[in-house]
Amino acid sequence: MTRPLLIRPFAAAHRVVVDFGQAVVAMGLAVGRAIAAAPRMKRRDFVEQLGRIAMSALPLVGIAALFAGMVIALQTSMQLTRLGMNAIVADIVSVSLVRELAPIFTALLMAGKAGAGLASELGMVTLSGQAQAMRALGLDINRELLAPRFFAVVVGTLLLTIAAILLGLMGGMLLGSGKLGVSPVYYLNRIAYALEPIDIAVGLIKSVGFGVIIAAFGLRFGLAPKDDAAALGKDTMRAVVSASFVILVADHIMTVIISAVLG
Amino acid sequence: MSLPPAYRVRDLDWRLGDDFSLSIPYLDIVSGKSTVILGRSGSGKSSLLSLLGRVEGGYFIGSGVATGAVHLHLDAHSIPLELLALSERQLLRRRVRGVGVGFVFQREGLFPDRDVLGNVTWALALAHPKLSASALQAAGEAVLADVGLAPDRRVATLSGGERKRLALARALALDPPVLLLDEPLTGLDPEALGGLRALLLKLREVGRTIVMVTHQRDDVLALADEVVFLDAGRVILAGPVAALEAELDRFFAGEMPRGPEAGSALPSTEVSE
Repeated sequence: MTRPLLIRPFAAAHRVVVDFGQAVVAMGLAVGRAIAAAPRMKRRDFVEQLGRIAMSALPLVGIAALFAGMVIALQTSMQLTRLGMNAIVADIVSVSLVRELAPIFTALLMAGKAGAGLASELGMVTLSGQAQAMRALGLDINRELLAPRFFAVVVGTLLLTIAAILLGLMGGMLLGSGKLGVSPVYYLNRIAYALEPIDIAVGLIKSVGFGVIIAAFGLRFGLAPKDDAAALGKDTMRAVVSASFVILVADHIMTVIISAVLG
Repeated sequence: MSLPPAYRVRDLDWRLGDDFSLSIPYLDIVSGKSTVILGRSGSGKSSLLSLLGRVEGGYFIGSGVATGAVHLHLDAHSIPLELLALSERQLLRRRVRGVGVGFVFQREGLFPDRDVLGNVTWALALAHPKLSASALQAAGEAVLADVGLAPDRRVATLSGGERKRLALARALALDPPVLLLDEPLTGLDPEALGGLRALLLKLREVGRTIVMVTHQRDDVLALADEVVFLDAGRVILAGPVAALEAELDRFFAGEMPRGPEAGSALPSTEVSE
């Protein structure tokens, strides 16, 4: 039956709202089940997943962080040189890296790597009938698949953010000493002076939030029912794009909330 | 003492989409025998089997609400379970699936990141947490020997027949009293078909309850004690194979058999007992 022309936009909007609501419910369901299964999770499974996720993304995140630190230091110094304030390059680089840049680019890289990996791996489990076979064998999917992967992505994002902060600061220090003539000792002293515990708390709390977002989208799109391989590719792409978008929105929201709570 | 039926389906009504529902007022599946479900494609055979095994639906997607009752008697001494009343969590806790009811899917759903032995021992380790690693390995290897598979093979290198055998071995490792098989013999070459059919015959001889969906006349003649005809989600006829030979002929000639009263479901126990 064709809907009257005036009704169509409302019907489309209704569909979008319903789809969005269903997606949020499905994500909440998957995350809730993964968290509820945590006490039953085998530690070995978690460590195995964490090793796989963190180690596979470490070179990517590490090199990106090193160069990001260098380029931020370079860009900042170009502006500060005009004001004759090159000495505080380390202050600006360290605070921006710790509070904002390291968590956000680690999260975006993790969305592309771990999020896509999670969605495609679980998607393959769903598509090939392994998930149904697991149910038939009495295996607990939440315990065996969801919980170790969920916590591995969250903890992996946190650990990689810490690595990105350290490597980013090192990149800034290398550029500072090599190009700007700032000694490494002075650079480190400035970092220690500039960074407050709140800066570290903001960066790390956000990275945990980003990890939850990446894992939630990976689980949701990975476990969504699929008819063919095309759906697998599409769902994997959706997991990455949706997580990246939500990370950018959540970054602002979390910064406002954390700053308001922690000062 | 006669065994109670393995399954008692009563007033089952399960809507699957806008234009199909499984509606079974009365059906008994006889214990310790092999029952074959026959019907055209889309008649609801696999849906009924998935509901008997409670593996219907997906992770997020339920399969609609099924009303009525599906009672499962795992053995003569156990209390019957009302399957439709059990949640996913309860099904896991009570080990209804796997340990109670084994299920072999048409699409096997093997675990490719584990070897053949790992496919068998994964669920076995969960069902018997006190078994040592060596005992688990021995138990897994024994089941694999029964189906004629080497334990160290990789799943990716298995042929179609071997995949079916591994799927069956995986279910048998948990020694379930009830075995549900969705077209286990479809698409096999004659050698693989003969091997797997012999294995199923052996299971039938030891009195395991088997419910199987098939389209092959040879499977029915070789393996079935009882037969259930489904059409458009309704049981049109059910009973022992020996009593329904003419209806079987009609079915494999391309016609649906007629029930004793056209349009009404026939209680299978009235035929089989």
